[in-house]
Amino acid sequence: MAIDTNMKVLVVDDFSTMRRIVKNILRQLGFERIEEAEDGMQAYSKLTGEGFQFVVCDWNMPNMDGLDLLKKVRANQDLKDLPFLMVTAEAEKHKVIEAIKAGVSNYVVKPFTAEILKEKLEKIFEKRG
Amino acid sequence: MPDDMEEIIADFVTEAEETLDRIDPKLVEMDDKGFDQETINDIFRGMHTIKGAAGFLGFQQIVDVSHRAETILKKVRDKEIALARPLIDVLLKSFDMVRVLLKHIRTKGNEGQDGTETAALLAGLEAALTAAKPLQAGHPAQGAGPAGQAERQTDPGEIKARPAVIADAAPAPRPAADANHPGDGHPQKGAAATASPADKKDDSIQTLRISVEKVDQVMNLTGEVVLIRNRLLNLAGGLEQKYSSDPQMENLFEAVSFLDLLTSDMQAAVMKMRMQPLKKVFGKFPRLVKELSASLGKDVELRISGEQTEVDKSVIEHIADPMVHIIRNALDHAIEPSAERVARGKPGRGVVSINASQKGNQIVIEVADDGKGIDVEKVKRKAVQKDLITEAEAADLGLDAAVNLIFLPGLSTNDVATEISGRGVGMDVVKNNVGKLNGFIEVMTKRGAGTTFRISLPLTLAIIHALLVEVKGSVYAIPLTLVDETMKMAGSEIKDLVDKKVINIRGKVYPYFELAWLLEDHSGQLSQIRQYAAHEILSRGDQSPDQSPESSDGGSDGQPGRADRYIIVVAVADSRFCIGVGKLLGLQEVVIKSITGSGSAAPSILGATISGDGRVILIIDLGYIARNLFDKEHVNT
Repeated sequence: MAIDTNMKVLVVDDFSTMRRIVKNILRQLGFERIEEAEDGMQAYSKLTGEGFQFVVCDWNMPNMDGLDLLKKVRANQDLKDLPFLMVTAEAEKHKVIEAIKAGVSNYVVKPFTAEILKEKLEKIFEKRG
Repeated sequence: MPDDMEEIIADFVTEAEETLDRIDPKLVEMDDKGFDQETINDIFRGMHTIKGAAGFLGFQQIVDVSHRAETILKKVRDKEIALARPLIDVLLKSFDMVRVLLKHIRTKGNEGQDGTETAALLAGLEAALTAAKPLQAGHPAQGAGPAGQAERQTDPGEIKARPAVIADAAPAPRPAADANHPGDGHPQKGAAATASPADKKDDSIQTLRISVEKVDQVMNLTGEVVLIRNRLLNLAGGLEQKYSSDPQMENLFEAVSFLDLLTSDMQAAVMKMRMQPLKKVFGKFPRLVKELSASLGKDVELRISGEQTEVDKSVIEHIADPMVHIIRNALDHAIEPSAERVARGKPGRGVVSINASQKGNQIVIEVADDGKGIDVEKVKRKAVQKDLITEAEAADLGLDAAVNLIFLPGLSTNDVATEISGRGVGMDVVKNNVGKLNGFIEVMTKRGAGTTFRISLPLTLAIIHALLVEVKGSVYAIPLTLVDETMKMAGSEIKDLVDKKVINIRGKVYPYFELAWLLEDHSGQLSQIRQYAAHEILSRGDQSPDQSPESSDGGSDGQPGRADRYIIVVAVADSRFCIGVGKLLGLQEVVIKSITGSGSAAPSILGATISGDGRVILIIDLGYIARNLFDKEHVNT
């Protein structure tokens, strides 16, 4: 199915190179409206105000990590249905269960390619579609 | 992947290096102060992040090394194993390895190497992990990371070939314990080197990463604006004399004054963009001191203060080497072994203090030790022995002047603190490196009590306040940072003393030099440089280069004894001397334009700038001239 690439995406990672890489991959998939946040705290304040339709979020970050952000997002009435993709490392796989409990839409293990991300996106939006 | 891949990789290298710079000292700090959950989290996160990004970019060696390091850090974080010395050492080695790989990526575009070094390190990491003591029963430390990772190795033999225990995993000898000198009043070790709590906040400040090139472009443009501003001020001044009754003149002046103020602010703001805290450099020293003192078997505490002092980026890049040199010397030669210290009635633990501060237009960095001090007599003997000075000169030298002999090339001995064992690099190199930053180094020493090296650097390197002077019809700019005072004096006040000239200012006698003499050696060359600079800088607009030949008037200039002389008292470090010029023309902010490509640029010229009336002005490198005078004459007061 086709994904609406016009949607506004927030990329959350504390490492700016990672944000660029993820943005790059998203652009390859046709996304244009991409913004960044460098930790959960910053991401949350952006999410509450600016009408994002999708979040790609790293797990391990200072101040507020990905899981805490996810919990906060799900606890917010306005954001509780926001599609939320968690980026995780190999070693964190066992923790994914925590993220699923917290209501993550899907997760992707890094490093990932544009194809893998596309698959994940399709799965997420299929469910909703 | 798209074509801005190169840019992403460059960003990755920079960011990964920054991350290492941040977590490296934290690990050293934890070795000092013990386990800290928040710190270990931070270190773990850093390594984890580097690994993640490297994975995307296909840098497998970095992934492998950082993965192993991360595995160890994770077990430490989760309190499965204790963070012991050998573990810290091998972790630091892995940080170094990642640095090597990053550097290779930066310069060559790939990780390079055949992976054997990486493999050896991986083996070391694993050995250290295996050897590490489990903190709790039931949590045996596991050697291998997740299987998937190991299988990705290009050569499976690498893993199998791991030696049982690498040499580094053996516990290093600890420096003598604090108990050796109870009550010596020292603060807790490493306390001063600790990052302040404010650092945590820094992480969340909104930042924008801009390439230095872009900043420099803005800086250059600002420089151009400054030049135009100077020209405008000059023009307005000329107009006022002509049309002083015109009411419009006042408006013009108001506008120009505004522009003047704004340009100054703009300059300062641009300059600030290039400023970085010295912490970037100082952050590496705790580890240096720790490793060096361990290998020398000495007990040394490092105290750092003023690391938030900001300096120009070029200073950050070039000050580390000279400082490392001085610190190594201090540990190697100055600080005595504990037993010897105690025998001399000193605390058993030696102290090396590093302090940075801003004093007016200068940044002052001091490296002080409380070691044995420099044996000045020995230095003198060595200098005579090596034919650097004569017997008679040696006898004449005062203590302050004699100690400066250590900066002479060729004077490197193990007896005095001038050489690092096995490196064959002398203090003259340190001095030259500092000189390249337009800075100056001086040394103060006291037998038995210690030595202090003081490095003074100009705050900014591109725009300076300068004194404009005229010598033989040509205008020169003298950087104001080194000018102590100026005065007018009758030529007869300049006295001959054997083979040199001196003047007496308020009861003190100073060596005196005519600027014309100092520049004489290459006056023909200067004329060429001026022409060249005129071409290079004035390649646009209505400005016309100074057409007056170098020595148009053979008047009274450079002929003390008849006319009044203007005296500039120059203060370089703690020494003072005087320079005589024909005319003082005033103060101006000048933009240093380096003169490149002129091939035979005279070393006494720092660069060129353009005066308000469009003439090319050469900027005198007083630091160079002073160094030359000191080396030749050991000028001191």
